[in-house]
Amino acid sequence: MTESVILFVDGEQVRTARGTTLASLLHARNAALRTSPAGRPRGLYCGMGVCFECMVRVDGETVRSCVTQVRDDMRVEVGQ
Amino acid sequence: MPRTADAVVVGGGIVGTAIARQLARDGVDAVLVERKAFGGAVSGASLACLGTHMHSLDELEVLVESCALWRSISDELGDPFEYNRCGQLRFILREEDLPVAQRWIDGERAFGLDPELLSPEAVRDKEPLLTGPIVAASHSPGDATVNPFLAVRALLRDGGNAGLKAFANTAVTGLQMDGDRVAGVQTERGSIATGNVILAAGPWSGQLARHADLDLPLVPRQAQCVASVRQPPSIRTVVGACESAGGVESGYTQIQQAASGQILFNTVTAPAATRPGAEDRINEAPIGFVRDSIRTLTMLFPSLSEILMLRSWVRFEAVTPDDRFLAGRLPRRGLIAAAGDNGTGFCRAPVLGRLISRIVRGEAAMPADTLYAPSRFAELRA
Amino acid sequence: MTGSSQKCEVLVIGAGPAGLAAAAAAREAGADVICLDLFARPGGQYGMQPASPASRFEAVSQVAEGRAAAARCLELGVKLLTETEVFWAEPGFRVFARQGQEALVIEANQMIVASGAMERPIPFDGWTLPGVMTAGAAQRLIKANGTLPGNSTVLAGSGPFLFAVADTFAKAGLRLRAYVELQGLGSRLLPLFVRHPSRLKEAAGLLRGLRATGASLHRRHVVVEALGGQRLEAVRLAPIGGDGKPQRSRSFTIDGVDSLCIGYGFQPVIDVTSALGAEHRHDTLLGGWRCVADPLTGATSVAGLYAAGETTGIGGAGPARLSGRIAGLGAAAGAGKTARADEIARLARQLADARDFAQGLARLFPFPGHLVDELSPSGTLCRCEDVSRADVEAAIDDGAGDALAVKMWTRAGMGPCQGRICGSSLAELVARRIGVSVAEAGCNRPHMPLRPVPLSIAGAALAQADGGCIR
Repeated sequence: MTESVILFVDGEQVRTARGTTLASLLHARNAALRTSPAGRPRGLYCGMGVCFECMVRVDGETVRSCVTQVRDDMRVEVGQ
Repeated sequence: MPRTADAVVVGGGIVGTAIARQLARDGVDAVLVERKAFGGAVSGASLACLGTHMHSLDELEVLVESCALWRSISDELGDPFEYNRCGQLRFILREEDLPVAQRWIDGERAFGLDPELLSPEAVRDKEPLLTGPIVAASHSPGDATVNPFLAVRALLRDGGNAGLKAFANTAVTGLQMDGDRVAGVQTERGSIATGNVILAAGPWSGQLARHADLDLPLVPRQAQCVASVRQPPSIRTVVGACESAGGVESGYTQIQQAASGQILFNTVTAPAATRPGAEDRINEAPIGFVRDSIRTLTMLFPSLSEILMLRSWVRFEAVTPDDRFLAGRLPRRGLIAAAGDNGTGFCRAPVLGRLISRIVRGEAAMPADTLYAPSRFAELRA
Repeated sequence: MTGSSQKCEVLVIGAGPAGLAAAAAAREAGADVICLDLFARPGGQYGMQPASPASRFEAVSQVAEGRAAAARCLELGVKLLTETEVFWAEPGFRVFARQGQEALVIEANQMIVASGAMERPIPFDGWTLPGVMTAGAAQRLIKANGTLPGNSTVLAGSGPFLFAVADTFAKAGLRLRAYVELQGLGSRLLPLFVRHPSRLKEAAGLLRGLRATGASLHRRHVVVEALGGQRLEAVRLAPIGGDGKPQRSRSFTIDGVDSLCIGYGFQPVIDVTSALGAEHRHDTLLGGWRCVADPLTGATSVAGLYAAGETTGIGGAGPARLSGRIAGLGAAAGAGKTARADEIARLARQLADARDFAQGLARLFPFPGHLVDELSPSGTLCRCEDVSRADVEAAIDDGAGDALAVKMWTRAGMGPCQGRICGSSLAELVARRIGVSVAEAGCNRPHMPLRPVPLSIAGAALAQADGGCIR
């Protein structure tokens, strides 16, 4: 059985599989992750840490969600 | 590429571009040649602060005129280069440096300007995130910044509308001399016959002058800069280091947030000049510099310690023995210098444009003429 | 924050097929080896490991291969560092990295860069909409994470990798709405497989996979626009005309699409090798700018620096494994260990054969850089900074003479991706407008940091540099 992780996305408690990336969790919830400087919606694009389109805030730090593993109690802020 | 011109400006940084634009606007048939990209060397790598504070009491008249010119250019051209009259703070870390700051403030106030010394609490009203251990800061409300890339582009474009012909990727390979007068420039793309050549190539101006057997008292000085990834509005003013009682310790610090949101912070590593020729091989920023820059930024702005660093780069300023520009006639007829930014080329560029245009057109001298005349150095007297 | 430091004889950047092969070879030859990778699990993009051992991809040959290669490295005593990203490297070698949220400095005698490849994107209208992603991103979502790119997916672009992604959809039991390939292929594939018959079985398997997805096939078509408001809703396709350009008059829309996975091939990741000053060449067939490496040792033009795999030119997993092993032996020899000359000769022959197949495939799917011309004036070129094609062309018309000049005047390439995503298409646009070659249009030079890094981590890593004095 897959072990699960419990974390918080914009305050909402979410359970997901350990070993997956934060981007995979977020993309499945909503493809739009942030807005560009001109205010246009953006989502996961390269999925390998190059493009920075999937940046979100985790525990106050800016991370690329596609190269960030989900962890218990992570506080994730999407769409800043 | 034209075969002849009234004047050829060598160097497409902010100084060369400002001069070329002014020449064209004053009806001179001018050509601007740039070895690589316009504004791509020293100008684009700088932080483009325009101000009167803690620069030079002797040059206040020029600085005030230059600041006013920048503002009017921005207004005239429709704000194409992010002109921002954000004011400048110079932080003071040690009590013993307070008298130095006070002397600058007194000198500038005597000239009619309005800098003042602020307590740490008053500083935080102006710059809320500046919570580091400062004892005071001076504040000069009229100082401003521009986007260095866009400033060059806008001046170039405006010059073009007035008939300026400008060529990027066109290196000058030699000066044509006719006895002791200049007759033209040779470039990679052909020669241009002209009676006026303006050397505005920053630290490379010395190499060009040697084609006319002249040694300019110019040496390169390495400066470097770090930029962060775009941040929400965090820093409002230009934050710089106050000159300390014992002189500039490890160069200056300048911190500001660009219109793009990027936080830019730079330092000149040493007051000493770099060895001649260093400007020809531009290295990466030394890691010690990046480390110290990060320390300084996060000492002053502790809440920025987790922001992402995006880029670092190096530039070479052209330094003169007395920290003033070398702008005016050289002892070869038709050869004119406009170099020696000492890290503050943007501040003076519009005035230099006017000064050099007057010289080319044979008009009467202006105050900047005596300040910057190359003939103040014995080796550059005719 | 403080950081830690480590030392080794051979440092390998990248734990994909090339990096793992290099690390194992260097270790076998007796060197003390550290191998680091950005991802949480070794294997690279090709041998990517699923999050869960219960994944249906566990048995897939690439996954098994990646697992075996990583296990072999661990068994040999290679120190594997995951979630580790290099942000600067100095000759000699001193490498500054972040490991998770910690700073790390590694000193190494010899260094092998096997940093792999990244997609070589071509901007098109609407490509910034959420739901549009690279083909590789889709592959990673499904294979490594068990997440669907969407519920109604179009797979598009050009090249053999699209077959592999379709096969991934098939193996996951997923449907595809449409499969869009720029090339016609048909009989042009035949001569390649006559020369490399051993590759036929793999190719047939991939084609079966594609069929199993139920995708409608659109050969000699391209995506000309992704449509939608806040996210992707539809995809517009156009057939390729006799002039090689999309025929807009015959374009049509596929509605109800929530994911578009698109890829036109790959480019070498060369940030570390170029920061260290190694020689690079531009070769369209090998993905653009690539690091030059000696085929018999993997040595670059910088002493003690080796390169392997996609960094030296796009070729896929076969050449990656072989060139990795060669570079591992080369670096071990550089560290004073004895390498077996007979093995190197055999590997070099196999590498030449594998490269021949890869180049044959690359010729069948030439990179269609010209498609950037289809981007409309208001279309986005630089995603990070929202720079349009019109912005770029206005800068060129104002006198910007190369890609760097355009960058300064438009901010194209000044965002967090540091110009990696738009760099090759910016060079293409500049080259086309000014009338120079793509190589002459210029490229992004790397600077510290090679990737954005938190100031706290950079400061802690750099503080470990010698003596605290400024060089």
